Amino acid sequence: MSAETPAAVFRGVSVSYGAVTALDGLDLEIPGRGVFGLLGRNGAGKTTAIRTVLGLVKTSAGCLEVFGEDPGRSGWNRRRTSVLFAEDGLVASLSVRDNLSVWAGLHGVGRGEASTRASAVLEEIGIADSAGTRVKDLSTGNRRLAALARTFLVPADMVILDEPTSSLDPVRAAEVRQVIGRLAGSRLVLLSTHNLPEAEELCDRVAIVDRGRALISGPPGELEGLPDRCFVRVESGPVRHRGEEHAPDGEGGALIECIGSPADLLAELLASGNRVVEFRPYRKSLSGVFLDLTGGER
Amino acid sequence: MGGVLRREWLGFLSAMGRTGLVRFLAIYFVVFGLVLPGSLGDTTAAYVVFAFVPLYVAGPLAVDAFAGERERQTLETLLSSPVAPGRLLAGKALFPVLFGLGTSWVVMAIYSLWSAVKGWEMPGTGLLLPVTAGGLVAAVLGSLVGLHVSLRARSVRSGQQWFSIALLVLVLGVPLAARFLVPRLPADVLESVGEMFRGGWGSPGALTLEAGLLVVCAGLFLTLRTGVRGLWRLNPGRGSR
Repeated sequence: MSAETPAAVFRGVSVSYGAVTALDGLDLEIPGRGVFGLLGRNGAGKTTAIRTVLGLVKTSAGCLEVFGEDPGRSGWNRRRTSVLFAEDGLVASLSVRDNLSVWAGLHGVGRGEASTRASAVLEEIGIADSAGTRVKDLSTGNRRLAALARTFLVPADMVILDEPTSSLDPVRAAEVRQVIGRLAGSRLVLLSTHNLPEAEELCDRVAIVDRGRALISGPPGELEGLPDRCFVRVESGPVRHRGEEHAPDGEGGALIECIGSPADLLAELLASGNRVVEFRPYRKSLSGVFLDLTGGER
Repeated sequence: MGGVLRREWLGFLSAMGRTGLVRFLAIYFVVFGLVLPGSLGDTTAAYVVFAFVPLYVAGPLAVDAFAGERERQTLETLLSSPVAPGRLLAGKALFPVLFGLGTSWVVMAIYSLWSAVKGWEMPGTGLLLPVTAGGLVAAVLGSLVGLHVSLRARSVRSGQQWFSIALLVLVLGVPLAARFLVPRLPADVLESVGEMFRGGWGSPGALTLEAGLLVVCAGLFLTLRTGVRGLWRLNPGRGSR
């Protein structure tokens, strides 16, 4: 699959759980390669979107194509996807190696090949020593790594990770992010998270989802520049702009909305009699964009 | 289906442990191989009891099939695997059947050896075949009823409770219904079933039981297929979006 061909296309997809609407006419394109981040608050519809991609929930409206097919129809080829839900889905009483072997078996991978792959992926992740340990005896961090190993074990075209670092301490979370970055390779990774620094670190593209709709989508760097504002500090007093006075904040300046180019705004400010001592375009972080769009408070 | 069977077997074995498995077989041997037949005072009746062992073994295992996965939070991951609904159901149903039958045969073999040592009367081959067939039916029935309960149960615990009730209805209800249809059968439940087997495959009692069980099993299987397919379309995880 080329990077240009989308792996999944949502067109007006709606999903309800009884009276609760989880997806409300979701429109989204997930590219064929790279790490795609699905960002949203708790309850935004991220996990439902994942379940829809996997054909695990019934859509009430709209059209969804995953690799050109409807995942809701019977006989859909699930070998093209491998998922790690927020719960790791491992059989706790089995060893890590047996969990991997069983998962490979369900994906139609023979035992010999599964064993070779399991050794390789456990080595890659750095938990080869724990291969014979029962999952229930693993630490939370190692359990998560074992679940990642299971997910990346099979040759799926799309690897889906739902909150892969939730419940991990910062050190373990950083390790898991490194592993994801290494193992992603040429495959598509669909990463659902509300951890924005994680999305900035890992994702080539992101979509912000809220109340079952995609609000914005694009590379994180491009989203960060929206909407444009500039930080302005004047010699003394408030910043005067278009008849309004903006009191200085803690940094001694004010954020002024930049409708045209930053140069146009600077010219306007000078024309209004401001003695500008500092002027810089204010690039909002992904967190800022996220909070603005989803109605959170900074 | 092989993948599902292997997963079931490994999961069961690792949860129970090899020592646990030996203890399990030992308890079944003592209860079904010594205490119960001994109290019946009749080796033929003892072998009829062996036909019921798979029902008690297969059922609880089947109850765990979906309710246990749900409780251990592994069901959604399993459903996201490429296993087709029919194969998942077949694997989940077959494991309790095979394990139930295997347990019955092992216990029966130990009991036969014990009988030989004690010099008790051994049953003829004419009884072994109906007992084996009866064991298969019991295992299938236990597995299918257990799976039905498992699909609907909120937890393994509530599933086990519902299965106990279903078992009571099966063990008492089916022979009583047969007795209602064939009034000459004796009142005692176990004796009724023994009587049906003693009469051979073609006797009215046996035919009633066989036909009744066949209809029940077919109905259970067909409704189960729909239920298992529904697992993919039930919009699970209502609390989480």
